[in-house]
Amino acid sequence: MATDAPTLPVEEPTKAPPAAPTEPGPRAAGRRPQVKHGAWAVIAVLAIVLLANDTQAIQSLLLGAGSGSLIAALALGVVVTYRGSGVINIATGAMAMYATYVFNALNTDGKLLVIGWKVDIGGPVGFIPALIITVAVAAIWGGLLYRVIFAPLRTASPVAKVVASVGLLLVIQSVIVLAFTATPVPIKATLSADSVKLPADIVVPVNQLILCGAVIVAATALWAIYRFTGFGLATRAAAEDERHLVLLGHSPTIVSGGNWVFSGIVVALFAVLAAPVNGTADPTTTTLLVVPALAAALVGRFTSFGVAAAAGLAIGMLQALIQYLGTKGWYPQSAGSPIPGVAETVPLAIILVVLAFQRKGLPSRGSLGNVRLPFSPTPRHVGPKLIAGLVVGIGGFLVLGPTWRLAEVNSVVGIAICLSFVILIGFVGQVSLAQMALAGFAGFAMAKLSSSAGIGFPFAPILGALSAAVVGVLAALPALRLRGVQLAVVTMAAAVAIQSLVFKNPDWAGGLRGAVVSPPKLFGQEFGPITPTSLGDGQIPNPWFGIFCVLVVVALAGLTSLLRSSGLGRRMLAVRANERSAAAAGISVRQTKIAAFGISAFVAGLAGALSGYRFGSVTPDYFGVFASLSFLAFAYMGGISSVTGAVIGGLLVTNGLVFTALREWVGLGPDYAVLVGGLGLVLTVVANPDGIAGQTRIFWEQFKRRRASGPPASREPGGPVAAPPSTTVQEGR
Amino acid sequence: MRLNRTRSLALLGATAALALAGCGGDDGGDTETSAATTSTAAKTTAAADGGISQATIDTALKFTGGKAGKAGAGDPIVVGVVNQQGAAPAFPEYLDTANAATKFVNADLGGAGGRPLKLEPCIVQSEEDGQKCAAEFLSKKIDIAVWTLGIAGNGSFYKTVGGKFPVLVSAAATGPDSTTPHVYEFDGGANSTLNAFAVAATKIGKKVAIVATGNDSGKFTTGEVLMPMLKKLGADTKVAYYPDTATTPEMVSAVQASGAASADVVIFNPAAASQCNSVYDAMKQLGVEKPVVTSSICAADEVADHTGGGPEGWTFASYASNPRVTADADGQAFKNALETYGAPKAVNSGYTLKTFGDLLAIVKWTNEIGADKVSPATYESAIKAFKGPAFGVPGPMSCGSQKGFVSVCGSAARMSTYKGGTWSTAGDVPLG
Repeated sequence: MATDAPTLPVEEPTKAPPAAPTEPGPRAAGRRPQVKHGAWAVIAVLAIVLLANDTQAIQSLLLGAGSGSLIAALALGVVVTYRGSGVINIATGAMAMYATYVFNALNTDGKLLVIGWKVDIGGPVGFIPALIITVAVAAIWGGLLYRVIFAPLRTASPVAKVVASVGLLLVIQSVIVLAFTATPVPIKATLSADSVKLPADIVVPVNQLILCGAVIVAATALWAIYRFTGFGLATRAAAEDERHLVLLGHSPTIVSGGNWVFSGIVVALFAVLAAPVNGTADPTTTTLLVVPALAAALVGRFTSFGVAAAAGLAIGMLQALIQYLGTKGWYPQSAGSPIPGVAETVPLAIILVVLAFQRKGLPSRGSLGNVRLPFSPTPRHVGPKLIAGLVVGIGGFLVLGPTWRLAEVNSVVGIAICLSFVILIGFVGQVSLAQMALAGFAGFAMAKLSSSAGIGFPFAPILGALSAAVVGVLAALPALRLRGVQLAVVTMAAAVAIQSLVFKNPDWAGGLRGAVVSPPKLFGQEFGPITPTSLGDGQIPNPWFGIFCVLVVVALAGLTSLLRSSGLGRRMLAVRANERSAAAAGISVRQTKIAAFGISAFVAGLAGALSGYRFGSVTPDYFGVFASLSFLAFAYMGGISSVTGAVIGGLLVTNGLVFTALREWVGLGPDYAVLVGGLGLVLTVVANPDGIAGQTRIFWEQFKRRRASGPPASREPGGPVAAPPSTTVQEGR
Repeated sequence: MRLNRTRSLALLGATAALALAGCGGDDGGDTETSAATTSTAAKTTAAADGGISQATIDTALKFTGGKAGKAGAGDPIVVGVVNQQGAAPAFPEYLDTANAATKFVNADLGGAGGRPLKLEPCIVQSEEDGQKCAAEFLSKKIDIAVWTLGIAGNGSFYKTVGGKFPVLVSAAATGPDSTTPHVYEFDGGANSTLNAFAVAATKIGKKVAIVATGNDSGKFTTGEVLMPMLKKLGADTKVAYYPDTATTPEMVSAVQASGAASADVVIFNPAAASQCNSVYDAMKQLGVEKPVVTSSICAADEVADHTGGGPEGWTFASYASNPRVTADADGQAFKNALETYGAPKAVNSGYTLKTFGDLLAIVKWTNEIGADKVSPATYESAIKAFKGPAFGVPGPMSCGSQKGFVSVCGSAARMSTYKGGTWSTAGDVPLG
């Protein structure tokens, strides 16, 4: 490895001082207390169960270890990737799912899956050869993905890496859907289907014990590898600070790539082992397991294999215990059934408990070179732009046909959601994946206010958005201790909890039908999307509703521009660039973050209200965590740090104007929309981190310079059209 | 209609758990005699050449009222079809079924009103797609549509259509599918199937373990509909819910939590066929050998393949006939038509038979109305006047007769069993 080390001029740490790590490295951050607390927590749960003298409860806990094993295995994959490259790979579950399909195609159909194509290899392959080939394929993919996607993002912002992994997730999932359809595929049983009988008539399936044992062995082996081998030491050095690694004569690129290969192997190995135990494979189930797996990895601070694996197992076991407790008469009920969402809240609860016991925040990673954040330009010509937006937006609803008007409504609402991301991520650098949950909260609150309290338009949507702002402020509390991708994981778990506990609670959110939303009405005149009108062609959607949406979103865009130009906006950028520097300059980081969370939640809340009016109801699934990921992706593609970027993001959203154009003009079917979106996202993140808006601005500046007869503009830092380094607050641009 | 809100929502929920993700097929049960499905069944097997059999044509013509032969010339009768596919979850087998049914109608049943039947498909994957499909259909002046199976965009589709044309729902999976005016579900709905669960289970024993999907609809159907029914029948129940994404390990926990080991019978309310395999494996792993009453989702091909022909001793309740039962004429005609017209994989997949039957019903109404006179209004009148029989569906039809379910037109469930390696019909269970 040392022979591959780059020469210092290539990766010269002294030429590009890194952002100062804001927290001590992983080893210095107090791992022992955390292990101690985790162990105490597990012991406490076991003790309670034993004291209750309920052998069924004990059996539930033990049976939960089976599902916990896969969570733990994915958590190990997440930790390997993060330790090696600083990427929190949200696509870890999708990679495991892909490995399962590769294995099953070999083992059952005699086909080798090459991306989405099935190549005949002359007949089914036995378990062991299929396992070896699958692991080899996963290793190759791991290396390739790092080289093509994540190596170029080494100095990108944390959100860029998260977004790239979201794009990867979308691509993998859509490739599998296109190759195999979304119908679950049965997997042949390979491990023993027998059970062992423990004392007190407790029965546990052997295959689950094997899986559990394999996870423990893997965690131990990973610990040993990273503790005692040169590769492991190099990885640990990189995790502390990549500069140290270079000084030791190693290449961060090779070490990181090696870890991606390693992660691919670990994840594929367990995917293949777990698939026959699960009995089935589909594009969604394992992919979604990344949420509890990320929580487990976070509990392990993205560094400890043992704690991450234990947390994964604990999540599975606690969820099984809650399932059992739900059969008890004392368990709280809603509409005749146990209240929903308690088991899904376990990951968030575990994270919050661990955070409560931790005295120090989570470690961040030192990296070579500046972490480059997207440029956030000072808005110029705001008034004319808003007027242009109004004219184009309203004009569209007056001249377009029904299909395009629907697309425009979708885009306009999408712009509002993207604006909420711009405020939170683009301005203040807080990566929240709960924006759609907040939008949904406002939508449900609006529906409830309307149905229960008789409060209608315009007060219900405003109050709904304000309620979302309150929740947003509460969500800011973890952000006071966390930052970057760790915050993303917490907010992701929070989004799952909100969706499960609140949106799916029939007493609160309307149950199956969702919450019905009456059309908006002003001065006795309804203007909902299907309200009959003589304006335009008389078909749905009602142009007046579209115009209303345009007015709201243009107002939000104007306010967001004002925010960016205001003192608060400048403070936000300062916090984004470096919290310690901002604090040293007298900026209250705490107040700034809380304000950003509250404002962005309010904007998301208004988007949720518009969405409720758009569909005539609010349904839980529309506001799920993966919807947040999807909108984040579009916001990032558009440009995460400017109002223009949000507008472009809104145009790009699914069923928005761009997708409709692709469908109507190019014939791009819905089956390919996700694939195209995912690929576009990855390409944007890798090739153009400023998003379409940023790139357009650069082209425009270059064009103006050429016209002014000067040479082409440079993108060197400090140049007039270049994006600034992250640690510098750029003003007046 | 003045149901209290919780009860009403519970009833809504009943629909979804039974059809959600819908794969699987039909029946289950025990006693009462099946409607006149057996007499012609022996003749309804596929033609010797593998093509369409005369018995299949005869069976179908009973439900369409036309004449055998090819469709005539003229402008086609266009039917809008909405299906969820592409991204997960996806149910492409329903659109395959609709296409096969259309070919069958045009090749063998004389078309619709003498004209070719033509589908106008629209794919949904999200709430926005529901609006988009409705707008497209309205723009294209569609007279009638079929919503096959979907869990995304249902509400926005119906709301946007706004009753401007009638919509038939093949496999109701969400609340709006069963509770929206001008939307029609020609089967007994979730209430009937849940009632059949309770009746069949309590005939086996009074100690009932319930393993049910924990999605919104599953909780509603189980907590608010099934449990009261079982209580009324004197059952002692214990219920465990599992997540929609559950695989075998989670299902092992759910089966254990439900107390299945000490129960007389297990009621399993699934959301997808893969979950049937998981419960089957979970019971084996835990050594639980109890009879199971479930929905026809568990009669899907993947379950039969996994269990070596079928899950032994299980009873299936369904909206409609089980094509696996060779004594069921409607099921066999459906099977023959789909195998002939390119959709063999759709035969034992959820409630595809309902989609087939819905298109036959539209052909019947078109024949009655006359191809030149069809309109949303004439279709709606024909639907309201329709009293059955509906293809493969038990009982008479009377839309809106179930309190709270304005869309549901039937009032019974069809049962079948898999015992000793044989699929058998087990009668119809009317809603008590």
